[in-house]
Amino acid sequence: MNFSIIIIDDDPTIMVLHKSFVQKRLGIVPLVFGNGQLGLDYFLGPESTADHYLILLDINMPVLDGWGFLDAIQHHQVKAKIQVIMVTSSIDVVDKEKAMTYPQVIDYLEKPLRIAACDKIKVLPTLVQFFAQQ
Amino acid sequence: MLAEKEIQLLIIEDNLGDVILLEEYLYEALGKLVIGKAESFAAAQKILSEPHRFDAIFLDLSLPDHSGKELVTDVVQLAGLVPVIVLTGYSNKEFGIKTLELGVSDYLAKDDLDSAQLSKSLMYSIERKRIEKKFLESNERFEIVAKATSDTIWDWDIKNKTVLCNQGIIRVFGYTEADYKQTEYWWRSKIHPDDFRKVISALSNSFVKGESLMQLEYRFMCADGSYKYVLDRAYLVLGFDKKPIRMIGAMQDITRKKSEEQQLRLFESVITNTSDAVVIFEAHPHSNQLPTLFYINKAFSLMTGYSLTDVIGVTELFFHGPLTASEEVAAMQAAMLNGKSCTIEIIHYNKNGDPFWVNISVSPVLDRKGVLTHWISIQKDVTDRRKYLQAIEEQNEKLKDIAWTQSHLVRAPLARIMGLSSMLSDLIIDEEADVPFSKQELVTLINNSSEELDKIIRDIVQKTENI
Repeated sequence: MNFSIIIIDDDPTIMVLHKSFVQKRLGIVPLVFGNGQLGLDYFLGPESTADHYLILLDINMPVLDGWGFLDAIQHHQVKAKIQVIMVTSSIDVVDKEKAMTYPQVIDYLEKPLRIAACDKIKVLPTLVQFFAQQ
Repeated sequence: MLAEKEIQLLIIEDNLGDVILLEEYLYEALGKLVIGKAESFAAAQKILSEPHRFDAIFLDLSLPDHSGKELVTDVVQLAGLVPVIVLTGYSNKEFGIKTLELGVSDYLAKDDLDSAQLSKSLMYSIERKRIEKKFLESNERFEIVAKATSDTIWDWDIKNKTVLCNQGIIRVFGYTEADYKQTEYWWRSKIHPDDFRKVISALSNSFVKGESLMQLEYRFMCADGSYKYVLDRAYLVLGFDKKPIRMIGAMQDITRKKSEEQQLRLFESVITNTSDAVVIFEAHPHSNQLPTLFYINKAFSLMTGYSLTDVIGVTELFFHGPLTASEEVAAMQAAMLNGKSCTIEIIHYNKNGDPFWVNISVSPVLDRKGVLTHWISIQKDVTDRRKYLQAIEEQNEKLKDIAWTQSHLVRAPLARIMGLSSMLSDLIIDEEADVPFSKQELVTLINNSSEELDKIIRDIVQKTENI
């Protein structure tokens, strides 16, 4: 059962920071995309071969933002099992409430990711199986 | 006139000879006749107790079983409205005269009888009874009406200074007969001081001019000292010398009507003088027609520029225009269709064609039977409030925009700075720490993000100044 982590964020600095954190704390090298559209293209293309994905999704992005991406994966029948953790600089409660209405969204984290947050991800009930083997 | 129809007579007489003689005279005088005969009081009593329609009764004063004064009294009573003509012998002519007091129509001496005299007596008696009957009936009718009416009927004999009243004076005003019999001065003393001049001058005016009909409204004191409004309608009877001799009138208690009138005037003044615009529509419950306007107050004219003649008969739709929200109108019409009151705020157009916001409350008016007759629409120009509200809403939008910027744009570089600085502190603690940037890179990135944050905050300050 193969499992991949994807980071979708348009902020290059954040991208580097988060990628480094995920690699270090979760032990998996994540795929990174600069906006929602690039992420969606990946899922609709032939390369998305993993059975399970965890996406760390930003909200405010050019081309296709986090909401647009979430809407698109509802609309297109993406085969892979996708779980989403919103990782955003927004501390707006409205955004958080809205995010939790999507079935794939399992958590909502504020930027920047911290060690504690990464450790929390590892033990989320729906994710714990993927990290247990390590 | 009498000869045209068959006359029915009853002869109460025991002397057969007298009967035959009488019959003969009667036939001679009148021709068409039906004659019943009774030879005793008992027989007469039997005949008269059955349904009959005699035009007159001839009565002999001495019968075998009854006679004299008692006989006359009994027969007159049995006869009711049928005239009784007494036949007397020469010997008791005096008594014949006395019978007239007992209710007998005429008396005839048997010895002097002839057909002409008989015919004349008979006709007079019948005619007199007819008039008496009519008079009795009309008197009875008057008595009934006087009892049935709630009006106080009064009869003032000006010459003799007496007053008669029906039960009304007791029932309505609580007086006794002893009170009002004290002549017209009593009546004058009961007129409300504020109405006194008006009443007395109208009365003397009527006397002077000899006007037979007069009608007055005034306050009249009751036995308990309270006042009632009365409508007094009177008829003045003039004597030969054209001087008033009698006055008859009916006093109607209109206190309730008056207080209702006063209340109505009060309500009307509220509607007329209120600063809210008031429109009254006439409902058409038996047709699909929308309620039509039939009253507007001053405030409505001031608000819209319309006078009543401009808008009488129009419907609510008349005031609508392109900016009027149809959903609001539909909501109001739905409520009105169910006879429910409702309040809406829509745009109306005034006489100049300018739109304005109006708050409308419509309420149904039902008659006593519960039938919807009118709609009252209270309207307020709320344009200022609306504008104010709109300004607040716009300001609110701006503030929301700023709040959004705060939470989204400000936090992006801040989050970056937080991440970078935490990494920098890792490096300071441990030179070998596994981080994707060098110290120098981190410092540059933190500086860039700070500059970005600074720019965003300056933008927010500028936006805030523009609110």
